[in-house]
Amino acid sequence: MYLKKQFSDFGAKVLNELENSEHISLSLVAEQTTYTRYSQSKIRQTTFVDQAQINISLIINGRNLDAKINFDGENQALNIKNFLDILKEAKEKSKQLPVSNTVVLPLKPAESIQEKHSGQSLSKDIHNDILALVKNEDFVGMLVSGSFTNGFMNSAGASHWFESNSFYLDYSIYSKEQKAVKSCYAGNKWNQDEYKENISKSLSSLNKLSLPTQKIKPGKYKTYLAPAAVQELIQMMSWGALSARSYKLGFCGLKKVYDGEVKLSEKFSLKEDFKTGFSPRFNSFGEVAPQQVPLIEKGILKSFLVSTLTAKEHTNLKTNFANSSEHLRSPVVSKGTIEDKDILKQIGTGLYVSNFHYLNWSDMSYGRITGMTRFACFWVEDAKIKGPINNLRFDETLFNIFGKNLIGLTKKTEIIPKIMSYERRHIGAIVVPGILVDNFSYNL
Amino acid sequence: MIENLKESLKKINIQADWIGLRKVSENTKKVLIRNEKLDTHQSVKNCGIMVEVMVDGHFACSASQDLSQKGIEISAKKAVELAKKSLPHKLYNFTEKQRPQAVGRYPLSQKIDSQSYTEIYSRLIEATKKMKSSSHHIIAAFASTAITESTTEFVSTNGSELKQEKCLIGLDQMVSAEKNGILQHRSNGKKVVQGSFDIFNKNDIYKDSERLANEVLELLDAENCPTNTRDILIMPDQLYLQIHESIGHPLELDRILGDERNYAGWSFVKPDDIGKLKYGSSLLNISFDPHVEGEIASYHFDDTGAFAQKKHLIKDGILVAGIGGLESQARINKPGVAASRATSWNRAPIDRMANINMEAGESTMQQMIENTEKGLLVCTNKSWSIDDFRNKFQFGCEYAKIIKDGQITKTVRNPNYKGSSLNFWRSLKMVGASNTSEAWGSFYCGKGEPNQTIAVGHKTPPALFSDVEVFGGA
Repeated sequence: MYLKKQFSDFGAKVLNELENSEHISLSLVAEQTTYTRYSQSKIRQTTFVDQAQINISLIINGRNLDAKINFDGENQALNIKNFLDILKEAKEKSKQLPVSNTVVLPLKPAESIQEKHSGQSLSKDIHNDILALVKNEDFVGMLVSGSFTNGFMNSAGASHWFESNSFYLDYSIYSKEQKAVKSCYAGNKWNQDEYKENISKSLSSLNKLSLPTQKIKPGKYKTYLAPAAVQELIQMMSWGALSARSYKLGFCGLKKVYDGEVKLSEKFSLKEDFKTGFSPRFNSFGEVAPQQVPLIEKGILKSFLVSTLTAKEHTNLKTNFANSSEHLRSPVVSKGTIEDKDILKQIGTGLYVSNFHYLNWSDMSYGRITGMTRFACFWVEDAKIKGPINNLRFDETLFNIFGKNLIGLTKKTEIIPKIMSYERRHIGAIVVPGILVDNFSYNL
Repeated sequence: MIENLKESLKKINIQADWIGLRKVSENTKKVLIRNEKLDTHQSVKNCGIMVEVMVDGHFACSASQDLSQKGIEISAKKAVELAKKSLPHKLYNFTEKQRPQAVGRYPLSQKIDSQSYTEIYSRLIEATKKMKSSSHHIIAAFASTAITESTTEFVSTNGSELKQEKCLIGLDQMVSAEKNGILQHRSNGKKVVQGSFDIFNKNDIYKDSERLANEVLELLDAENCPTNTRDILIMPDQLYLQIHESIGHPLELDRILGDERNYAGWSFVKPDDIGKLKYGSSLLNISFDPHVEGEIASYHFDDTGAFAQKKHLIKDGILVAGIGGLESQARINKPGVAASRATSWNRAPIDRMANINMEAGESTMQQMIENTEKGLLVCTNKSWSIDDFRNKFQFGCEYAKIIKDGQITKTVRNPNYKGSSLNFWRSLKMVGASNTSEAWGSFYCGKGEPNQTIAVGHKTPPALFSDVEVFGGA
């Protein structure tokens, strides 16, 4: 396994440098990724990145002191030197800084996670394979492929490893009218037939975009949100609505639900589900989350994401081994009963929204979010697609969307991979259905 | 040292029309204090090299932390392999003109020592103490700082030799309060500067602590912002983000060319608009200015070696240039600026905003207020959202005052406003004088595939806009 031995040797040397009262957790994050950027069905830029970093969490004299250094698999002496510089600095900081709000000493969990998900390298003809099917289209997107590694060890003896090799092609295809469809093809092994089917589906949606554009005024409309749009809303929940710490500090978008002032629909359930295998089950403290962590069950907010740090500070909360950031890692929204073939019939007259763009809280205390529709969004009349729309701004609350206005969810769910790549490639995926919502509010 | 980098370049043994090495070293220290105690302290050390090659008109990059000659050679070979594989499908035929020879230095103006950190920490702790102790309604008080010292060295086979050093500093203060089920927050807007530690002035920090605590308590008792159309006087700590989202991003040439359409989006600006489009009222003057001392995105050269100079982007309301480096300028055949930048060694350079500033006008604050019959004065950004063509936007702010018949009156909470970019900028009716200008910005402007963040600066006076739709919270 890539860097496993080097990481293990590094950890052993590092532990020898600590005093008895000092504690440490080490998390290795490494990637070897090729990013190819397409625009106008040609190649705009190609970048290969080979990087590995170690996140270091030290506990010295009641202070949490974190650091991040590069990790060189070929130069252990340099790694140790960098660590010793960090350790020296941390000891100085422990004299300059006040004690931490909370400290949680490293533990050794009962389980040691050792996961490896293999994949096949892409063929040398991959660009031909991709672009041949879209050479007459305006195709723009990014192909990402390579290996990702996450290792963990701590001074209590915990040890975990997660390795995967995968790809995704995240793309959109634009019409002459500047309208577009968006899709993603992802996996461990490229299959040209699967890719062909993916493109074929996109081109079919693109044809519908050439229908006359419908001018829709701001107002409230029955709206179907496709899985890609739903995942944007769930990711917003990750930004302060499901964090126990955020609740305690007054920043929580679902506070009113937790406090019992507002009810969500019993059709809506959300959990962390690590059985999907998209993300490692161990967190940044080396703790191992249960296979499933129910968060919202039939509309009841059962639990926030609670890290052990937060649980220690607020003793009325029980940890469910969330990450220190208390973000969602492997979310799954339960499916419903609406068949795909019935979606237009269920809308009747209203909007079909494929994607959202640029969501943000407009009033977090009331769970209110604003954002834009984007890509293949249509006006539907009497269960027939009439034409695409000019994008609308919405301003709506989570309490309405997943609460009293939730009509239903689709039977089929989609796996949507994480495609963020700030600082490094992020891995994981979300599993979501589409949802049908009544009186969805558009304000611009 | 740059001499070592030049030696490494000489030893590379590959077939390419042009080679560039960009080495970036960064040291970052972040600390967050909450209610007088330590929440987090993080020290980040990051160093790596990007090898960029041009083969038959196509650029490709390979980045690694391995700084040895062997590591650089491996990266160089990888970059050539990627370039060759891409050649049958290359988008454009570039030349060395897009990587001019550039020689120069941008030295660090001020360094920080460990003694200084002790004093900074004690001020942050005291700041949270002052905020938290001012009322039992205050539930949390935060003070944090992030300081990044970086060195970028760039050498190339056509003789470039650049060394640019920066120290970027951020200071945040925030307070949260609750009363009768109403929650409000008030912050200092996230101050950012380059190369000056005046930002940690004790008196300024403590004065801000007092002000933020007083204002958050005001917000708890304030009415919700009304929902109607009125004039809006936007203070610099909100206007900077309006400039960023509805002028900066739409003018990025790579967006106009369509490269960002799968992620960050496109632009309502077309190539033929440059030189013609009436972007705003005749009072609107926007410049790209890389030489403002202390502004966060000041530099001498961009990451392709282009020398950075001040240039108007919008002059007297007319769009005259885009924000794009040499590659985009060649593709679009329109004027741009030296703005091709990368977040670090592990990303290729793309068109980025740098310091995008609104030139000062001639009005005093008093004049702008007196000229407002029915208005709203808004401060400090809280929320932002805009569509993928950079047109329909919505912003939320932390704090606002009603202006009635030329006078500031009561405080309102949850002020939001929305609009469309061109209509909005064409409604600009008064611009603050130079003594009202403030430099703001952000460390975290995000775009690109793969994604990258970069520091951007926006110096702006306050400004008055007519007939904007405003609304409050739920």
